[in-house]
Amino acid sequence: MKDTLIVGGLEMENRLIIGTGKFPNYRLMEEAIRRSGAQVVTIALRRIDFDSREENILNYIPKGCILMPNTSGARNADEAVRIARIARAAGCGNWVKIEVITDQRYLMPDNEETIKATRILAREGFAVFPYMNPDLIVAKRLKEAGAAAVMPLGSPIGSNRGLKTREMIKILINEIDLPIIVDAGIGRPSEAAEAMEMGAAAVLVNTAIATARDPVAMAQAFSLGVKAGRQAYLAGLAATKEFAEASSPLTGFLGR
Amino acid sequence: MRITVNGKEEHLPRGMDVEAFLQSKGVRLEEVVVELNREIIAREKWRETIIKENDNLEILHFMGGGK
Repeated sequence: MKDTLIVGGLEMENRLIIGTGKFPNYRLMEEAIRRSGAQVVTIALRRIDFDSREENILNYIPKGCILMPNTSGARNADEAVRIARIARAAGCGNWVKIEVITDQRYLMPDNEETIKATRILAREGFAVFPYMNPDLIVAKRLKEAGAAAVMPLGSPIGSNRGLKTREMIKILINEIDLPIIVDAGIGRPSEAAEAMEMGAAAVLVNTAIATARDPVAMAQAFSLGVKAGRQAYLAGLAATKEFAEASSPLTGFLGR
Repeated sequence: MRITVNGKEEHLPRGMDVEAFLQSKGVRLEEVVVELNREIIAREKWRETIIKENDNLEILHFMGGGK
C-alpha cells in the first residue's frame, strides 16, 4: 500500500525534506537530492550580487521537486510576509516556510510573530509551514491561523544535537491534527528515524547532510533512516518493559 | 539620477525602464524578482515601469538555504 503524506495540497511519498544551504557546491546538492529521493527542498531568497556570477540554484533542483522557499532573514511577521510574497512572485508555487528569528545565538524562532505571519499568509492562499519552538498552545494557534503543517525544532539550527525537544514534539504529535515535521537540529539518520518512529510526518535535514564528509551518501543514509522510522511507526512499536520477558521457552526441559 | 539598488547607491540616466536596467547589470532576467519601493513588479510590467529619482530597487533571487 502506498503511504503518502498529503500536505499543502500536494502529495509526498518521500518524507525527507532537504535544505539546500551549506553544500560544497550545487552539483553535489543535486546529486544528494536525487540519491535521497527527496521530493521537497527548501531554498532561500537573497539580494543578487551583481559582481559575482552565481549559478542559478533552480537549475540544480531535480524536476518535479516541490520548492519550499523559506523566509530566513525575517525578524518579524511583516518581513516574513514580504519575503513570502516575493518568493511567490518568483513563480515557485505557493508553499512557504516561515522563519522569524531575532535571537542570533541559538537562532530560536519568534513564535508570536510566526503565528501572525502564518495567519496573514494562509489568508492569501499560501501553504504555510511555520518553523517553531515546540509548544502545544502555539501549535494550536498556528493551526487556527491556517498552517498546513507545524515544524518544531529538535535542537538549535545547524547544531546536529538531535531531538532535545523530544517530549514536547511528542505532545504536538499527539494533540495537533496537522502533520508535524521535525525541523532543525537532526544530526544523524538514527535521530531522523526516531522522529519518524514517534509519529512525525516528515523531517527536514540540511546541515547534517550538506556538511557531512560525503553529502550524497549521507543524504541516502537519511532517506533510509526516515523510511525505517516511518515503517516502524506504521508497524506499531512493541511495548517496553521493566524486567526481562523470555522469547524462548525456559521450562519443560532439562528436568525442571 | 540617484537611486538605491539592493541597499547601495547607484546613478543612472533618466527614463530607464526596469528591464533595461536589469539587462545593463547583466542579470539573467528569468532568475530574478524585482521590488520597487517595496512593491513587487510583475515581470510583464518591467518594460513599462520607468525608474525614477530616489527609487529603491531590490533585485532578488533564490539560493541555497535550509537549516
